[in-house]
Amino acid sequence: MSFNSYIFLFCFLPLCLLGWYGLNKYGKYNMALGFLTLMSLWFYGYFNPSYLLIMVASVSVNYFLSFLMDRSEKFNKVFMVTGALFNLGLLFYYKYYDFFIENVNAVFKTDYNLKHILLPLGISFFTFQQFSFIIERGRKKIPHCGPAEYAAFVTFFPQLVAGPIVLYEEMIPQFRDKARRSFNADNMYNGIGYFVMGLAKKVLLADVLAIPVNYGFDNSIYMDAVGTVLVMTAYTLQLYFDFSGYSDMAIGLGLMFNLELPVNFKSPYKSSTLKELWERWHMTLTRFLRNYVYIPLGGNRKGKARKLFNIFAVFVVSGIWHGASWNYIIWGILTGIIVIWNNLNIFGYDKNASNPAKIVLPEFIGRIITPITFAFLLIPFRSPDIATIWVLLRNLTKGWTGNAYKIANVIKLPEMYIIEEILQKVAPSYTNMFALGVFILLCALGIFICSRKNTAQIVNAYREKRWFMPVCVLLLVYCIISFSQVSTFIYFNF
Amino acid sequence: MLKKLKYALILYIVLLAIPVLAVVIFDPYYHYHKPLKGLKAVLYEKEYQVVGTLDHFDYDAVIAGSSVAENYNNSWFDEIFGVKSVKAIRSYGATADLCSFLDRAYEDHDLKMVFYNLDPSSLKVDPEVTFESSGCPMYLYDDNILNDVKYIYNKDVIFEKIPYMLAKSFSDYDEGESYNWGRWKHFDLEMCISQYYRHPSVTPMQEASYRDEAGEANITLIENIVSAHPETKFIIFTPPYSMLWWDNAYREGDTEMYLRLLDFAVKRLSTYDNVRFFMFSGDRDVVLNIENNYMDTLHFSPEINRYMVDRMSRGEMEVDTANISEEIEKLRQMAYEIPEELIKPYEDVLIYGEE
Repeated sequence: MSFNSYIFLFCFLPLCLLGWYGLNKYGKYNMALGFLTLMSLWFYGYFNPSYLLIMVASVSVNYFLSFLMDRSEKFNKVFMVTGALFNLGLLFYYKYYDFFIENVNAVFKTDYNLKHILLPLGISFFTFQQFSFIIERGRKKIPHCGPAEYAAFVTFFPQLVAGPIVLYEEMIPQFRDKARRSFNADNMYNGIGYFVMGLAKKVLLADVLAIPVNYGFDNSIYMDAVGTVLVMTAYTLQLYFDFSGYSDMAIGLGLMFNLELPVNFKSPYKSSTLKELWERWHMTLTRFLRNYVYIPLGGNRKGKARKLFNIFAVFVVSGIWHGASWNYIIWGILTGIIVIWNNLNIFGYDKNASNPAKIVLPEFIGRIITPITFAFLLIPFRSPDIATIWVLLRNLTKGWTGNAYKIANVIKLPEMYIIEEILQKVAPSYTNMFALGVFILLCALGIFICSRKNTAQIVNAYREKRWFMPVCVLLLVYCIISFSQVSTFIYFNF
Repeated sequence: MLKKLKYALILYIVLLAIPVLAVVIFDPYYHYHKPLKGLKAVLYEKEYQVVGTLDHFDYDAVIAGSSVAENYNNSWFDEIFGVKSVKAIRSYGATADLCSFLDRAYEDHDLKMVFYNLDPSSLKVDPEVTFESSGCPMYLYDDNILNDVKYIYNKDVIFEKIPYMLAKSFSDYDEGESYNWGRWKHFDLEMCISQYYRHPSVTPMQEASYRDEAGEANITLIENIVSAHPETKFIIFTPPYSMLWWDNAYREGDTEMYLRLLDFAVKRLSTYDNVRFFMFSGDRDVVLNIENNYMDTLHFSPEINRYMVDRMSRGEMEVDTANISEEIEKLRQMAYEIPEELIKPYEDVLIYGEE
């Protein structure tokens, strides 16, 4: 089930909150964890019940390995390696098997059959979470825990399908803290704020921007330069609002349960370098890749060249993580190259930095260049195939053919219906211009929002204001009436 | 903080009630009631509105059919046959869907007449209801009030459908023209030719009986309704598809199959006392005139709809067990004359599809 659905808001969430706080109130702490796990499994199984088997198997195997480590410390490393291989194997089988076979067939001219396996939602997220758990258990940095705690830690529904990728030490102590088991009005209040803002990002912005983006990428050969620039801008915004909206909702839901989830986005489009952007974008994935790819490869401990190679490796892995396709690998390679360039520190924007760049430029230049660079990098990220990447780049030389009108006209906002009807009657020749104006305004609104306070800052700054909660409630109801037009989250498939 | 949360909850409930009130009161899909006094029945989205119309409107006759039946003006039937009719339209006119609509109509209404547009193409399809599989909004079709949230909390309905209904109600909108699309279309040679992708080759004529099972099952569905409601007079009629449609049937090897199914339908249905069957499939004046009558291979102009109603009211084009064999033979002649001779003048302008 999706956060942006009627069943979630009107049925699942109220039931889940009532059950959680009700059981905890009567001291049934373990039962409350069991209840939360069962509800989370319902949440997950609602997408496709067959996914539950994979989820339950994955949780059981990892927990059993942790149990074995607890019993026989001598074989810790064996169980750790087994667990790591199991998790990576699971991910490889469901996510990369067909891609691997396709490439084997292409290179060796073989004809192995593809399996066309349906990718279980969020498999990367819960697998990485458990991979981290099993490695840290193997390193003896964290202790074993109870089955109810572990199941709740992995399956806790707000973070289950698209992160944030949480760590044992972030969640288990919270589950054990009795003070967190009782209703906390402050956290509920903040949680509603986070949730509503995330929901609004997703439903009112990302899903609306998705309409011209999908049309543009599906009809890329017809687009002119103006249309291509608008579609690239819209996709850059859509991706951010979609994923950061999900993360805000996850954090908000966590707070409603009096549990804190880690921050996943910190105004990434305000960054002045791509390196900085990646420190602010999907921060829990960046943390995971740093801990389990960058540092094991040597991090910055083995000289500058090795450090740059390690950075490059992290982004190639990140590309592969995002999807089983050469597009993502190209995206990862290009991103890695630019982040390496940033690390060379030739150009920089902070003259007061401990290690200032050779050439220091005004920061606003970086803040303009970075999101534009990111938008260009998203061309391979979003393109369905390599050919589309070239088509889109070539489109940038086409100038204006009027095709942008066509793209803009696919945005049919019910809110604009009356204005469009009136315009159609009184000035029909301006309808195209109006549609394009709406598209440009939407992009401008998105850019404006990205340049202002982020969700955490808004909640902290305005929560005491009298208007804060009424505005949140109004936004929530507005999102609810927009549910009939929403889609699933982009990151569900990563 | 707890106090603020309590106020927020109250505000939430109040705000949630506003769309409920707006949608339930104006109800543009007529899911809860017929149009309010002073408002017109604005019908233009069949998948969303037919069910509500059948459930809540006052009527004693139903015009059932596919998209070719959308351009009838209800008032033509009302004036000529002395009834109050509503339309029950289903894309492609799938028999099981139309029969399901009729069953629904009978639940709360006594029907004097049913005007049933029987598409030859609908006889060959499986006799299964297709509402769900074709993506109809099932929350409007079932009695589950919980899934009505999709209707009630829906900004398309609030910002678009309700204002449209109100605007039309206070305009010169003709309620009889429900679902009418004809006024925005062009019916000429260029238009209909542009919509026909002719098979480059001719498939050998298939066994005439190869869709018998589906045809018999579909006819049985209609028969069940006809026999269960002897008090209702059924006017069943086949629409005049264009010569391009017949050319396509020939090139797909289906001509004999269609002729056989039409023959079946007439022979079985016209035996009922409460059924009159009219066949326009072979009306040469209409079918062969693709210069003026069609926008594609089968959709004809509203003038043809009017023409059909007038002819039926005069008892013309009626078929029964006595004359059906002769009529089918005439139809067969036309169906073969079209690909072999009558279409020749247009062959240079026809668009050829892929194999």
